[in-house]
Amino acid sequence: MTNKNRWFLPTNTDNLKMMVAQGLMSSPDGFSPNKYYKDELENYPGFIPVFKNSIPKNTLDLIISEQENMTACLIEIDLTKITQGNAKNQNYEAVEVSVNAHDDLLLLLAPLSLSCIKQIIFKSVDDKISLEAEQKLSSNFILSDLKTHYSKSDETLFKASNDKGSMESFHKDKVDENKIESQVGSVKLVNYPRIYAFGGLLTSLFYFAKNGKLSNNIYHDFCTIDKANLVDDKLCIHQYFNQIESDGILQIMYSKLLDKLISRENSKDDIIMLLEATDWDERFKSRTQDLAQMLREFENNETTISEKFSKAIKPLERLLLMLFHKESIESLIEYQLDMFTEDDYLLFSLIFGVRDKFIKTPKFIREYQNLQNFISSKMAEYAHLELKSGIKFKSTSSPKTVWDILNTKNTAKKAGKKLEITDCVQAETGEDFEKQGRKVIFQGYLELKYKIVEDKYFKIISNKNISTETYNNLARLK
Amino acid sequence: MAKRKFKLPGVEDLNKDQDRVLRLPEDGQFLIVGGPGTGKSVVALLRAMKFSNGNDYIFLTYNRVLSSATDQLTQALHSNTLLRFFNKKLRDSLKPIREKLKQDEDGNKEQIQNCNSILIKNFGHDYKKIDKFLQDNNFELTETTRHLIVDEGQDMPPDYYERLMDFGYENFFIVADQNQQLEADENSSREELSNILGLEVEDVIELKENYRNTYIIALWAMYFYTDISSPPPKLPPKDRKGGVPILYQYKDFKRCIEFILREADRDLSNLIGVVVAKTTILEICKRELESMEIELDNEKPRIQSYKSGQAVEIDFGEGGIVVLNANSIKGLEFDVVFVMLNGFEIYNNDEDSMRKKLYVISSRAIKKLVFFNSGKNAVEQIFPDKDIFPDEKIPKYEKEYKDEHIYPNTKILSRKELG
Repeated sequence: MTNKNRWFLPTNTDNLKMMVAQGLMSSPDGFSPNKYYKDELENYPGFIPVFKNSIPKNTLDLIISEQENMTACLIEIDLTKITQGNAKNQNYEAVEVSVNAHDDLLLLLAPLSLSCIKQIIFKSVDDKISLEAEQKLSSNFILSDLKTHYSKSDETLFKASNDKGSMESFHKDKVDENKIESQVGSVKLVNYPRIYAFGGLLTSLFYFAKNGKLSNNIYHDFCTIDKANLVDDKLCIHQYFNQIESDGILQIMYSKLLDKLISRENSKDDIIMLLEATDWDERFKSRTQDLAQMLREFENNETTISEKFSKAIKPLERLLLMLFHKESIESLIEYQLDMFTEDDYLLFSLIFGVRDKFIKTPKFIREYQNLQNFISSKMAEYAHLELKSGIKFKSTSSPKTVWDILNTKNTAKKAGKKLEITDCVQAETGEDFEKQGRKVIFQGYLELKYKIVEDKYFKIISNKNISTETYNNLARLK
Repeated sequence: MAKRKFKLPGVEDLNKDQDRVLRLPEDGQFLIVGGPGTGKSVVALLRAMKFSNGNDYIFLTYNRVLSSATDQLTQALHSNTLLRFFNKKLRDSLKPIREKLKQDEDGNKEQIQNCNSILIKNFGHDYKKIDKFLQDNNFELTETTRHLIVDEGQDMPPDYYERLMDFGYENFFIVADQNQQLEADENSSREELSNILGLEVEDVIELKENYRNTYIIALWAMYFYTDISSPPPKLPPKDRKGGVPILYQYKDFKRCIEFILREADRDLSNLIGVVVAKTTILEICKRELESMEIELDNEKPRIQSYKSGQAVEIDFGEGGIVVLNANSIKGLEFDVVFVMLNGFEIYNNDEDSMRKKLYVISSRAIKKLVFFNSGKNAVEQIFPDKDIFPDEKIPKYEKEYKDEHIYPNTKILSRKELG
């Protein structure tokens, strides 16, 4: 049976921009401070309220009520993207997530992935054009993966229907207030900073996966958060996100550092204060004091930066110095010093991704084909795993890393040429050959195997930034 | 050299007041006020980028350095200085009148003289005289650009804007901060700008949050705030942390130069401002920075400067060191600011003027603020005695919120020897 029911989250373009920037459709507590504008989200804490086919007048008024000149929009949700788990109806009773649902309002447990957006509906074509134009004014409002070219203006949806007009506050009338309160109270809170940090980490790893096999493997390890083959510092970070506790010294130090970086209190002073705090176990104290001292000395200009790094031997020391030296993933990407190894960059990318979170992903990476949607779905998946909500989403196609493209039979050669790394490629064959002077003669049709010489490759690729255009050209290779 | 460009804000970087500004319609008259670092210029630039197509927008700034920086960082916008733009409009408008007067058989020598005396000036215009002349000669409108976006709008007198209106301009978007006025007479207050634009008090949008400085740098700058008629801008959130401003006493000037070069070497994309009092000091600093050879990780940073009256040849599209006189830095921002205190003087016991200058200089720094001084300097006398934010400086309206702030016991200056 074909069902023509449509489900909408009514909001304004300001909230839409914020949700795209942060990478998730979230409750107001998932928004950056003071960036949430009034809509129905605040009336259903912990849920994304979606209306069937039409929107009540009160809601249409509410979504543009906070400031003048605001623009209303309807985010049409594709419920088929939610493959498992329940929703609630307006009485907070569990119901199946279904396009055919009988209720006029469904409450979907937040957060939702951006890939659940079917289209965005505007009141007028001008509103749509205006929002699309706003992309050029922002570093993190990118509509590319949201298929807005399919989005339409549909004025009729912005006129409340008569029957819904009488339902102006239907959700409030029907429900026993005490019941709402008890239901709302029972909704587990999402740890949004941790979710966004995980998204930042994945995006950062995706970019640095260009650097070689090790980086690429670790990116894939973190993508499948529950299974990984990691050691040392990287294992500590993985365990932190998997919420596996350990009393190992390194694990505890990373755990405290990551807590600090994820919080808003993550300045240089805060990190020094953390290391100098008196509540460290005696086993750690001399190490944390030394690290704090090293960081205090970092700010003086007595020696060059390379000298400071060359004195830092352990990964954690180098990592902390880099956190003090560079303020964002964007500046980390632009920074090159020959002394750093692939392992160094890997660790830097992990920790910078955590500190910056998904929202600070550089624009040129966000614009990689299908990356924004993929990371959004990974964040939503991770959030619901943490909530133990039972909600599962239809999988989003995974964008290929540069390393994957370079190591896929059909695309390797073309990608190598585009990236100008052919000097790092060796061709091998197991066939017998014969030498005639300078000529090498093989019998029959030759099957060559191409292999990237990793050391040489790393030296070239670590100094190369992969622009949106370059990546998208690589991703389109077949 | 590392490239720099106008950094687009993220959605979360703009507060609700700024969002409101960006939603304003294209046509109309608007006044946005706010202290240093509150994002006035950012919203002005974003608005220009949002609406500009072709030659319909002109972005006007007070000084040439700022105009040049705007041009380079945004590229697509047409920018000019307030005076140069006015002079061009004036010439374009008056020349046909003069030609007509010359051709007039009766010849009106007085009017021609008036016209010449108006045209001869490039600054210090007598706007009232221009007005009378235009009226006497039945001036017809000539405007071709419909929208003017004005940064640092407080630095021009009300008559300046009235004459622009005479030239046919209707759509003004002015951003201003009356606490950053340069000249005592040649400026407009918030009230005057509102009156000219025909705005009610509630139509003026005020940007209050400081987005540029760290908390400590903003607090340090606030120490020099002088305007008793209006409250100082709101401090940035406490979690915007950074180092305390440092005052280095030096014996060997070369150590200061070495310090600056190493700072620039840390990050080649950083723009480092070295602020001096006089052109002679500017030349010395530039020469020393260029000639000093020390071990650095990277190639030597680009060293640039600007002297009043010259064409601006500073490349703001790249990081490096820029040496500037204090009068040229208005509206600009630098990742790190070094201030050479020697040479700054307090004239006629006018400490307030010096405070105003220090307020503007200090609030240019995004991440780091460093003062260099050698021996005794009168300016240092107006620095706080105890290096902590003093009680008496807490603005009245802030007193009730005192507990929420970390001052008055906050250290706002660190004194060190550069030996």
